Amino acid sequence: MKNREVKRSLFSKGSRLLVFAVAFGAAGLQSCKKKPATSEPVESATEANENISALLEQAQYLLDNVEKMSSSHVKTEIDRLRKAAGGNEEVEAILKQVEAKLGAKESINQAKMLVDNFENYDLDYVKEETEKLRNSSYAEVQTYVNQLDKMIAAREQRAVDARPLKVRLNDYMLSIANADSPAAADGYVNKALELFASPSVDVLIIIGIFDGEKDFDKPTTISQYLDYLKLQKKAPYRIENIEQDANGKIRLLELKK
Amino acid sequence: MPLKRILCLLPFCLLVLPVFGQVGNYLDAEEFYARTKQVNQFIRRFNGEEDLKGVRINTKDKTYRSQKLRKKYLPQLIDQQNQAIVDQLTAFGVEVIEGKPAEFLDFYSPDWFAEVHADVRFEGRNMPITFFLKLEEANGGWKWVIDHIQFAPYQGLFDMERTPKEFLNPLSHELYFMPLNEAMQDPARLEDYASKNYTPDVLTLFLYDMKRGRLQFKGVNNVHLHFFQLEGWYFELSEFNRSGKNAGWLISNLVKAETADKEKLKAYILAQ
Amino acid sequence: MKRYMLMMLCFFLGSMAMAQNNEPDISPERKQAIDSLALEKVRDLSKYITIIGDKKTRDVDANAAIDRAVELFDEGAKIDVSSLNRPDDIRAYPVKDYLKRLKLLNYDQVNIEWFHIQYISDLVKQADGRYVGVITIYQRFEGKRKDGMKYVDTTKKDITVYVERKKTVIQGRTIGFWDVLLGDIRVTNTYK
Repeated sequence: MKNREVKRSLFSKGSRLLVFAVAFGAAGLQSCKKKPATSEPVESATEANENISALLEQAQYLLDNVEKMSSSHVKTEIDRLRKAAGGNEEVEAILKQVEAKLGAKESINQAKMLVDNFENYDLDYVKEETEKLRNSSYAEVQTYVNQLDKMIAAREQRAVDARPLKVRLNDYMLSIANADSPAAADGYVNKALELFASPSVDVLIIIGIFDGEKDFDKPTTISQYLDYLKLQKKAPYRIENIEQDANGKIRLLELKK
Repeated sequence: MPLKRILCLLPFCLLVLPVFGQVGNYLDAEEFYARTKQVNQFIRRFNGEEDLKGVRINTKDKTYRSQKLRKKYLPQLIDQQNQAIVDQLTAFGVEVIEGKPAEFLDFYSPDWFAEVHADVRFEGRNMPITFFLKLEEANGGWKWVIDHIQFAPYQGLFDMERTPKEFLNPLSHELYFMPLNEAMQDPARLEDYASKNYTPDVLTLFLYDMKRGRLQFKGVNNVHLHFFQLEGWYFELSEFNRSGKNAGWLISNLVKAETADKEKLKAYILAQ
Repeated sequence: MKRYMLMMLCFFLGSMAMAQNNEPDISPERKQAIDSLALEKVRDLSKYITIIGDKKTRDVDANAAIDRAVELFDEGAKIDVSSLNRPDDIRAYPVKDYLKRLKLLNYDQVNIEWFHIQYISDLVKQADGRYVGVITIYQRFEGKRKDGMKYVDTTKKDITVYVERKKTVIQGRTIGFWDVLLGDIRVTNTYK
């Protein structure tokens, strides 16, 4: 609604400016012949009005295209236009709308990103970000927040359910790395493999968390990873997350240094 | 080392073991840290961008590129057995480290190139060849490319300095270019018949000979890097594979050179 | 109005350019994580080399170590082999050949140790979009025969490391990972 009002006022103001400019331009031309000495200030006033009119058009363009531009670019443009407008109320009114639209866009994007990449984010980070979004006045963000609450609860439950499994797997991994003989290590490898849906279950190794997002080493399989522990005689990674299938077997393992 | 002394040192060795991870006749930690192990390390040390253990210093840290750190590194970065370099070290340090603005080396700057000595087999004989390579930007990344070649069989093959004496007369076409028959008889004068815009390109010759199988590449022997990046100075970087701390990639040649001198130096290196 | 149109066009092209040139630089923290990942791969390789060289290793385990070590390398990677007795005779072997030769070395006892696995160069983007770095390590080799003959050397090894950002889908999740592969290794004898 507000948007439409500003557009209308811009239109009317724009046409007025145009009429004003044309009329003034014609007068300027006439007076130019007679009084060249006074033509300069007249031109400056026209220039100023033209500038505001240009800024209004640019602000409106920005408002219409917020979705298509990067946030940092929109912010730079807001700053630039605000500075150039020198406190002009109409320009400021549009810029406020741009800011609001940008805010909404950013919260929706953030919420969507959290949902889409939920498993790739550190749980504490997701919780923190969800809290930040909780008070948002946008319905779309709220829908995402509700979805995130359910996903967080499910992930926490999964962690609780997997705890005994985690302990067992961790014990096997340490036993493989510290085995007295290769034969003994092989025995532990076979026992550990029984916990998995298949020897080709994927193993993800987190090398760091940057801005909440997990960054990984090249994915490997559980059979290769256990082989690695056996040969290297070390277990450098701890279990971060376990995903189980309907039979309670591990179908995805996440490790972290 | 007498056994008694080893036994005395044993508790100490065990103490430092977790830190340095080696004992006995291994390269000791102090030597390991002192040696300039890579060209990358030479540049980072020269610029004061890494600590004594080779760990990158955060750009926000106050020691990053600090004059104090750079002055500490500089004597380690030259071949200390070369008195001519040692003698110039103070002046060099004053100008590039303490000068305003201070000078830094930049991997991505064009003002450095590599001189690579290698062996090839040419017409059944082993011969040395020298490549000059430079870094070139490609697809947003970087690569070394061959810029020039020095190879004895190609040297003196073309004489472009002298004034051409031989030519095809301007009405040769009327005789269906019959004078070409005569012109092509003397290999020593062939370039006389080429356009004035022609310059012989040894790289093309090299590629042609490689493709024809006349040349086979055997391997690299030696590498020198020539830096022209520092205002008023030229230096050459070479690898010194020797015992002690003053080893690795070090300045093997240091010359005070203004811009005009640098051009002469470049030409000299390429024409050697 | 023409002037405004032009301004608009500039403005629009400006935003287009911004949108295209958005490849982020690797942050220092991330660089550090990649460095330690690359160093870890070299540590893993050093362990495999020790296992392969060790005459006490079961054949099956030595072969497994060879396979795992080869997986650490980029296709076509070569290792320069030198000997202190023949310093000029340096030959480059494909990684697998090198490791197989290592297993069959004519000594009764072999002890290979890599130390100072800690110096890594800055990563530089190369022409194919991958990043490349070099890790420098030192190796101490000790081979003994029953007749008392003993050979010891210390070599410096400059190891190429390729780092590439990749994505894959696992259990419906898109995973962004760093594919770290080792490349050519240059070996030089060190004097002590």
